[in-house]
Amino acid sequence: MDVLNDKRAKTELKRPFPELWRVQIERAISKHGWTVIPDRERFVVDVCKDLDAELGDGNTQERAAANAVERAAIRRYCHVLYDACASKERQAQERGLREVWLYLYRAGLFKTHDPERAKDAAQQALVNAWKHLQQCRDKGSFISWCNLILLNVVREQFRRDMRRSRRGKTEKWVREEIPLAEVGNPGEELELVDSEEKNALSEDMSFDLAAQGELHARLLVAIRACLASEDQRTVVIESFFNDRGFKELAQALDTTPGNVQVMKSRALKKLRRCPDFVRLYVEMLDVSGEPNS
Amino acid sequence: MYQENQIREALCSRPAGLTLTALALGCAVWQVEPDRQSHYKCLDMLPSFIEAEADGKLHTVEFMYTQRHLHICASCAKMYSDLVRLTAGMAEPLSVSRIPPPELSFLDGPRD
Repeated sequence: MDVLNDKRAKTELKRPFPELWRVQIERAISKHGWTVIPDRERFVVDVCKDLDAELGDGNTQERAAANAVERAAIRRYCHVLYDACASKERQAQERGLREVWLYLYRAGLFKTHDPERAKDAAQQALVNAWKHLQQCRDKGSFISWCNLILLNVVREQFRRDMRRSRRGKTEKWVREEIPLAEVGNPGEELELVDSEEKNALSEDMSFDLAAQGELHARLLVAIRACLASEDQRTVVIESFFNDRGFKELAQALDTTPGNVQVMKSRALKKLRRCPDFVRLYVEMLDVSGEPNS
Repeated sequence: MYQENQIREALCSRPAGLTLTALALGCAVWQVEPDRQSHYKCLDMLPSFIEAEADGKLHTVEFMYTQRHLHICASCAKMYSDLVRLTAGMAEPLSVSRIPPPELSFLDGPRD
């Protein structure tokens, strides 16, 4: 089998993938110190094939940006890492999990700023990831999926910290995280199910366009009347009416996604207190009573 | 306060006369939380969503759903923000010194 794989790899290496790609892929492997690649030549070929499929047009091959090559290498490495962690061979499993550990520990330090907490969180996340490997829907995002598990573990730790130390001083970064941790357990629940939510997206398309246009026009007038800040208006309008993401808005406003979230949060607070906006929703929702002052 | 509660209750019942845009905006303004299933769906999609966003490929219905949820759910938006930073950090080599080793004895036990 090794001989056959070798022959296939050597045959495929003769395909005209740009030499630059191979150099960039090898550079990525060295840069990241990846150790769980069973067949390096095969890995390079697979990444080249992924890039080829993504770029499509042979003329654009040479112009693939360096970061696109690295991103493709990371995605392919995630597949390799996943396969190692899911392997029935104990040795391969251990190699894979030790590599995942490095990413989890780093993520734990990023969130907790404390080596002991980071170690505890990473350990728990490692066990959870191994136990629920089959739930990873996209192997190419395996490391991100593991990081997400770690973020959830840390959030649970924060909740426990809050319950234990209600009266004592807590660190600033924990206090910032805790309200959000609590928000993670929603009280009010909308009675939505999968198919209903999917249908709802297409319902928006079939909603009477004239009525929709008029409703949105009134909302836009209220938003502009209530928000003096141009940036806040942009964030609200582009987020909700044009489905722009945080990253896109951050680039457009020359700021960070974190700042966009802060702007949005402040804008929403202002709208909640603005009589014009409240009056509009009271009318739309057919709610009785006077607007709050 | 009474009126705020009335508005929240009305938003929870998903009134027919509101477009999804107006509903999402209203839920965000009055902090009407999405249901737990929406959280799970969003978090399940988040790693793929971030990859697709980096590639400029957020055109599917599922990703649109995730994007809308992120606009109205502060909790998931924070997760998204953290995950974006960690994903960006993956482009850098692992530079943490003195990393303790993991405990792998759990491999001897059964998976759930």
